[in-house]
Amino acid sequence: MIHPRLRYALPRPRRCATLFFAALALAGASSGVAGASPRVPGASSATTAARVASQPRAKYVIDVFQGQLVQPMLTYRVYVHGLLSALNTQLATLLVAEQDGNLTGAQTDWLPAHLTWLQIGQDDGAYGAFGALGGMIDGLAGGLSGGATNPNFTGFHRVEFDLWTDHDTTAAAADTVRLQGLVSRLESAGLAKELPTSIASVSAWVLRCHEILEDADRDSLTAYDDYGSGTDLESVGADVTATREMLTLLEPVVHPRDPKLIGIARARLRAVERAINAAIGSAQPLPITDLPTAERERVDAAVGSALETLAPISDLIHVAGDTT
Amino acid sequence: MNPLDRRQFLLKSAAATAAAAGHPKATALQADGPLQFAVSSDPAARLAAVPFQGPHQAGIVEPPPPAACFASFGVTAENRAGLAELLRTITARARFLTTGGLPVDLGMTAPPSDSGTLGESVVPDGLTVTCGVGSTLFDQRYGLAAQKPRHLTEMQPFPNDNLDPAQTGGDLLLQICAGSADTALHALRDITKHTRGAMQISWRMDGFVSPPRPVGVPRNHQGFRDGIANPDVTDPYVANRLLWVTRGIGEPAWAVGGSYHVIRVIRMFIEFWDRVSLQEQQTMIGRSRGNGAPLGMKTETDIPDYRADPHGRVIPLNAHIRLANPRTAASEESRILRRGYNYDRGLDLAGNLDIGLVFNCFQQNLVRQFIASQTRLIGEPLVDYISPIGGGYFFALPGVKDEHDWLGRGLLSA
Repeated sequence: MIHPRLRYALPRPRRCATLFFAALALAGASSGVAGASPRVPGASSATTAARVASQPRAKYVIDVFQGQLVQPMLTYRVYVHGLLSALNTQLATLLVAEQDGNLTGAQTDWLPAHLTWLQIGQDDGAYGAFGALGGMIDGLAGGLSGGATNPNFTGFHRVEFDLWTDHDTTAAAADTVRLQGLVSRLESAGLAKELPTSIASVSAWVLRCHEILEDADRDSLTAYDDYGSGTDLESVGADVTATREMLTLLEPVVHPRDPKLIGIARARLRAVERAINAAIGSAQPLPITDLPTAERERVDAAVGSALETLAPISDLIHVAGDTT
Repeated sequence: MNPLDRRQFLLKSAAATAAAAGHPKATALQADGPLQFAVSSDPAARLAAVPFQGPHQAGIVEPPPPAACFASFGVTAENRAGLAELLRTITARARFLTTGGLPVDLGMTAPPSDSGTLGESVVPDGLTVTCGVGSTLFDQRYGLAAQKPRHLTEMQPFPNDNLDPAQTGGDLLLQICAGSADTALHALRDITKHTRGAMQISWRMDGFVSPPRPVGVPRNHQGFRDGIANPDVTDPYVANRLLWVTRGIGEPAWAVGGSYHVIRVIRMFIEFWDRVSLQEQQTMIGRSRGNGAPLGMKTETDIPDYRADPHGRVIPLNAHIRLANPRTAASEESRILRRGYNYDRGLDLAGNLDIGLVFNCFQQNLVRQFIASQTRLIGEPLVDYISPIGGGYFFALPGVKDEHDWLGRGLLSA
């Protein structure tokens, strides 16, 4: 009997030494066919906990009625408004420094503004509720011909590029004014339109429970979205804040379906913060690429564990009437 | 476990298994012997040679064998004669490697002529070497500007792309496919050894085709069967309409028999993907993950009737398969011949697996086919889980017609 994992390793299985296949199958089952050293399942408590949290669930899906999520979404809208208000003040401060030609000051002022934006929890993900506008506010240059030099590259990362790569406060000021315009658009016409309470949008919004940190995992922990500031660790911290807000808003509907899940998720988020704080230490900002491997791995592991816990939350919240 | 321990462990396991099965020679297995591997030692299990000559290059219409190596090169030959020499050399090496045989014996006067990784005699093992040229080869260096295929350009990023210039484009592309990875790699080593100085490798990506799980079209890393709706290019009518450059379509005469070749190295964020509900995965793709059938249908070969589902209630309007191939009269002309390979090459900085798809396709008209269908896919829900990071647009040269012909002869004689 050939082990199922090995059966397809043979282009065309023929006679051959069945006994040796059996032996290899045994070896493969216990130590990995490629000769990897044996792994002890649940070698650390964090791993074990994550595995428990992500065990396949055989639970009944109880529909959440759209009306039950309208209040959380309205609360979220108030939360967003508050942050946008703070953001306006921070962008005005940033602009003053740029107009004064104060590069160091501008670099210092850019970070709190960006973190405020990230705390909203929409970043630039395609599922972000702000759609294309969100992409213009905090998107990356990857899809643009010429990358960061493309004139259509706008938003926080454009200003970051101006300040840290080009050291050009004049360009940064112009791009900050543009950014202010984008934020105004979002506030005035945008927010009501971009944060509607249709079934589809509520379902998509619920996904942000893990997608905020998925963005962090993909773009920040890889330093892929670093246009020079080296502030990715701080960004992940802001993403944690945004995720925690989602948990608070969704707790009333999640709790009856899984009383422990939100508590476990909060513990995972605290672990991410502990890992970030330990990594940053006294050196601020500290580019993620400069972290010693062990510290970077602790941050990565904490985020990965949090994500495995967070992902099932949106699956528990099936909005009644959502056919997608 | 050190290697010796491991071997003893294997032997003991084999002995235990044999003993359990009542094998009479169970004890004999405890003797020393070579490390055994779970691969067939039967030479007949290797793939047969693929004919090298023909009106078209091999490696396009043949079913993709398990292993592939995509390698892109900058051509460094000093002049047009040097470029011709390069192409003649690639032709000669590809001809030998795909046919198989004994490498030249240089005796003790030089390092061996062959790496030896395929043994003393080179086995064909289904090897194909498909050579394409990029638009940059048609700049001022070799006086080829007037001969550039009409639609050949450098690959420009689509809005959801993240193309890395170091892994994008190139003057010359080799798609090397074979029955196993060592055969493909052997060919790459051989060709680069024989062409040093005239071209320099700039990026490469290895790929593999998974076996059917359990049947049907192989699956990609997302767990979905990929490449189901491919045009039947064994039908000459279809091939001459969708695959090959033919006379009378405005292409240079030398290009007849060639085909536009698109490679897109698409990273998949599979950690994220694995945290998405099956229902959401399926509505993004438009197929059932289990058996590959379009949603609401029974088997992978079933053809969805979108006219009966105009609002996307069964297969959402933005599902991948629906955008890629809307199955309208107009979209019929934009169909492409896909020949994709999975890739797997390590990790990113955050420890996430760097795996994905080498999207690989051939077509008669780059703009009408690949670019049109990729344009329809802009902003599809799937873009959150994938990221095209490299690749390029190339033109697969016409085939080598006889033993005197060579790749690009028509181009350089034009």
